[in-house]
Amino acid sequence: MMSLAVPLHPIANETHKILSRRLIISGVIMGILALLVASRYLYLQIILHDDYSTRSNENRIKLRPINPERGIIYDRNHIPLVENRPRYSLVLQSKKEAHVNLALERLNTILHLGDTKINSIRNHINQQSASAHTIPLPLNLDSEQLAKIMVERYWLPHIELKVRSMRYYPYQDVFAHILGYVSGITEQERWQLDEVNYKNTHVIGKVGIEKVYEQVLNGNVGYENEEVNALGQVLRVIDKQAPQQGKQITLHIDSRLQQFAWKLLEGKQGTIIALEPATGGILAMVSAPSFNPNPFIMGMGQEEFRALSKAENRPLFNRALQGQYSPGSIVKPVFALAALHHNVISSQTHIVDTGVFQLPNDPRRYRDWKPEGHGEKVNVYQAIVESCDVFFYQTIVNLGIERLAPFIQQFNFGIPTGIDIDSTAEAKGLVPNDAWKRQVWKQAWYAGDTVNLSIGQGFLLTTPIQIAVMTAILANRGVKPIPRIVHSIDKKVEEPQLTLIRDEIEPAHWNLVLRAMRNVVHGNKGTGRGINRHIQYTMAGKTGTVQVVSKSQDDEALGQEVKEIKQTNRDHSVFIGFAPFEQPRIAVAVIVENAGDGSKIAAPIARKILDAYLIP
Amino acid sequence: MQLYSASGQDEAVMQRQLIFVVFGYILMLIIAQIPLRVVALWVPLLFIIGLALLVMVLLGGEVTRGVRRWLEVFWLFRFQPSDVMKVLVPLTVAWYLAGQNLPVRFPHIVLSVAIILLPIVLIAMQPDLGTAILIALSGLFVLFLAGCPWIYIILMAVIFLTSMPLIWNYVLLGYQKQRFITLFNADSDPLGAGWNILQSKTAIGSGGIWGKGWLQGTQSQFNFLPESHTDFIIAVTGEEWGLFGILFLLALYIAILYRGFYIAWYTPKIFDQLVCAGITLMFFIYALVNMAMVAGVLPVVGVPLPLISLGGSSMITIMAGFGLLMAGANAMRKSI
Repeated sequence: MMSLAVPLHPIANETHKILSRRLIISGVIMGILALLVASRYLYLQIILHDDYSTRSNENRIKLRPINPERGIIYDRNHIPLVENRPRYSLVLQSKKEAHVNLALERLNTILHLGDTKINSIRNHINQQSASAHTIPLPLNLDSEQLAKIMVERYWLPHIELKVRSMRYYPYQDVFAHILGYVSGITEQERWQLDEVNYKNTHVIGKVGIEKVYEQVLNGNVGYENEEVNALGQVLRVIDKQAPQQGKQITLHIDSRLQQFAWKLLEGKQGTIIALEPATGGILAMVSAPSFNPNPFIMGMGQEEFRALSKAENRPLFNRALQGQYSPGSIVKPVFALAALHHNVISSQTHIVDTGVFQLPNDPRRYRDWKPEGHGEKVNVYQAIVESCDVFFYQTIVNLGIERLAPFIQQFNFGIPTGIDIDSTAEAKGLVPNDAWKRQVWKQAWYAGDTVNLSIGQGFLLTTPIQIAVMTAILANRGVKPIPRIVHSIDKKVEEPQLTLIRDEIEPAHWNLVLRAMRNVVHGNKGTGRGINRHIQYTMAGKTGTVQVVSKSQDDEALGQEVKEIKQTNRDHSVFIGFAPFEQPRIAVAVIVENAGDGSKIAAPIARKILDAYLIP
Repeated sequence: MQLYSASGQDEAVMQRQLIFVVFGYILMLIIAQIPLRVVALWVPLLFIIGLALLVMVLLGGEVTRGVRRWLEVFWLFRFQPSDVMKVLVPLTVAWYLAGQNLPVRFPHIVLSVAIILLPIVLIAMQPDLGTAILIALSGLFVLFLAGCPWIYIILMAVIFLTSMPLIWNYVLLGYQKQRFITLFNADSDPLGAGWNILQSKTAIGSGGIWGKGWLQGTQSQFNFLPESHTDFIIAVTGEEWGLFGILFLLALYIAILYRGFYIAWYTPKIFDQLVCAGITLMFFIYALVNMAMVAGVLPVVGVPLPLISLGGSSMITIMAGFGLLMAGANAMRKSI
């Protein structure tokens, strides 16, 4: 405390006098505050000492978090697609290096894991978040190992055997690209999470539904206040707050159809997407090849992961959302609508197709897929049914890229569809135009570029999900759905999101184009007529055969997709369709890489999907 | 020694802290050799640099638990520019007021408050409201010591009190409100915010008069007490050394306060007086606030215990402040 008896300052002017007074005042105030703080400690340490001692020494209260059960994901028929299985796991209780070393050494002696396995476990430990107090070890214990550990557990320091509820994906590869998987929380993720809620949680969703709906699936942690004695034995549970379990998610997916589709693509590379045009609900979405998500849960070794991520057929790559393909002839119905809408052609306009098309003043000859051509008088209806290339060369060159591009964007070309998984990972595709080409290629747009584009080749790139949405828009006559995987969360239905496309297309044009699509399958000259045998409903469709080789010659800038395709020269087989024609309940898009003609491979697959869904 | 126990007898932590102590000590000795009138010449520039650093933190500081406070400086250590402001704000206010024709009049108050507000707003945006309030307080102390008329002091208090509801509704973030609520009802959130306080009170209370002995604290050694080597270190003192230890520590702080005021009283120049008194007050208030916070009488604001808690930039700041005090003492000796 300040003494008031100090002599006055030598230079005793007014300011100094004030300052001295103020110093004394602050000294007194500080003294009082110090007394208050001291008395608080006095109160805690003398008067409440007995209370707190009891709490601290004899009967320590231990707060134990109780993890919520992660929400189950169901298909549309309430079939569970994931399980929570009780699993034994070893949990490391300390992170101190000496403890870890001793624990791993003993563990190795008991289970004979070998140095490589031990090192990979050590790596796993080092990668864990600094704030994690306990670390589950990435080991799948079989019953023999479990027995050994049970016997030796008192000799195994700093490790506890715990039963935990762990995610399991019973269908393995089939739903991997939709559901994604859960896996260990990394340091970086830990900072973003609610510290309290994830205190005792070791995994979070990394991709797919598991990631996007992490908050919903995880639930809220509960706790139990236990009174434990000095030996750590639980004397009684004082109070308990039950955890709030994760919510149940129901998908639009029909697991039967998904499995069926998966079988159809077995051993192939490609995608099948089936959706409900009226809601945008995805019924099936297969990207083949796929991967088994289960090893990811406990954390797989680096070698294992590298093998998977570097595999030539890229099983981790979700082709349905991220694969960018030239769509091929399946765009012809939409292109026809564009030309009709802008009055470039009428339903009566016809051309002569000799099998070859040439631009004025350009020696280059663009061929039709049919070498002898489609005849003297080809109109738009026939051009769709028979997939006449020359008709579209001529028509789209007349329409021009600057009118075509904005029109087809309405059919979801060149923009993400907004599907409710992996929205960041969804590829955009590409709708090129003059400005784009000048920017990227430093070249003007040539009429030849339009010719290539008019049959869905050239610079145009689409993802399978975009093609599926385009098919749904055709089935809906202009109503565009946002594709949705999730149907409802805990019985609360997610409303379908539908918009009308901007251009008001005349009903006559819709009728013309859709009728032509029906006759692609049902007409006797249709390119898809091969799949109409014994068909019990009316459907619409369009075949596509995407040339791979000619594309790779001029499109270096398009990146990996093209490079990958270079490995083999066969065309991609593509088909879109919907059924029943009158009241569409399902739209389907099929792409099979390097499988050849669209009518031979993709179309029969689509027919089987439609049959499986429509015929009980 | 306390840190050694609190950090779980981690020698690496001790070594790092020792480096900071040595570095801070050297810095203190260097600063002590610079006459305060020379320091005064550099104050405005330093203040502006300090502000620039705060802006840098907001733009690109490292995010720790969603809060931007740290700035990576070279490879040496991460440091918190708001720590530097703890010294710079009282220094700048003192520099400004000492240049005026005192006693303090209204325009001086306005400008001083402006000097204080500038860094405070930046720090509050980090968001680090606790530090912001304390730094504001340390600037206002200087204003008070320089003879700010009582009427303005009362006015400021009234303005602050009336704006409380507004601050609660519009400025405070969710976790900050939670800390206030926790203060009055620690059991409301026993897994989260209430946990620290419950555990620190248990640690202190169970220490009793004489404590459990060094390294014998069960609360701290068994990891019941979070943040035991940083902001909550005094709980370890309370548990292991008891009330005796706490009072001893408090006595040391009071001795420093006394010495600081003694220098401020006798040193001749008004600037030196304001600096010495301001820094001493700031130092003491930090100690009190930390002790009160750990004992559960103030909300958890993230204020370290000066000289004891782990933390490089806080240690160095305090040592620099002591350097200024010693410079003031040098001037005092010469004048007598």
